[in-house]
Amino acid sequence: MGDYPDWTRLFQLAGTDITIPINIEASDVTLPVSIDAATALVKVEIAVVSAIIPIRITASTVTLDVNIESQDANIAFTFADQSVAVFDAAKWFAHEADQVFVSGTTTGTIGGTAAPCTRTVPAGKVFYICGFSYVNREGTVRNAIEAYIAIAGTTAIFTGSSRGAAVIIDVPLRATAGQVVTLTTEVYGGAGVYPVGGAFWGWDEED
Amino acid sequence: MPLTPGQRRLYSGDYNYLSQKWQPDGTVAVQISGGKSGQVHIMHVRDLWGEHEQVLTEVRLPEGPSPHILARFDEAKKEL
Repeated sequence: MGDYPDWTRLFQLAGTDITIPINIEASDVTLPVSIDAATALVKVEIAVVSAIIPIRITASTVTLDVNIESQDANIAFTFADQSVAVFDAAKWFAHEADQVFVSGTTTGTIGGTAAPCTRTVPAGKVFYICGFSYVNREGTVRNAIEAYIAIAGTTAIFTGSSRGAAVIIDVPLRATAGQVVTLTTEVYGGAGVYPVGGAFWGWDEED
Repeated sequence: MPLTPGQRRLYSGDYNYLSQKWQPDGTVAVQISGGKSGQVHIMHVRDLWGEHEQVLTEVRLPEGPSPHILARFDEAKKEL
């Protein structure tokens, strides 16, 4: 910190009605609040019968970026309003009836590949995939089953297990209109054929 | 060849659920439901997504719950 003198200005207002309008008319406005201190308490406490705090952002693009770097962070959103909810993307698009579940069954040859389900992403859509599942449906237990999701022929996620599993993808896969999404399986151990099922799911957004 | 109503839904994205049963001959039984239309289409398709895709059969199921379910809904709403 620079060697500046301490600066304190106390605003203490007492009145029946207090109005502090701040009107700024300018071509460019910058209102920075910059606090450089060992500790900081920025407290906004409003205790009134009715509080109206409008935040209106009108812009072609809006980025509301909240970055918190802390060893301990406690973020509480408390809504006592039945019309307010916070959704993550997957739940929001399900709420908007844009969820997509693709499932299927087929028969594969041991040691060869099988595709229980596929999807061509529809026109004007972007398909976000946030999970997939697969299972070997035969009675015989084989050595292993592999499963992978491919988009336009390129494998995006690869996994495997003894019988089957469901995988939640925390960073959704993205497939664009016209691309084919394929769930492929392969079973090892023994010979013959095996019935297999699987699914992948996510949501569609307008491109 | 013009698209069937079920194919239009497949390529416009007017569905939420797409179920496939792949057959040994390479054809696939497809069922789609949900979407804005709310309809259910069942199709038997050859070369699904392929250049020579062909709908062999297509059926549209009645929309909404069955009449006997609707009758129970009505009865459930009545006060005892």
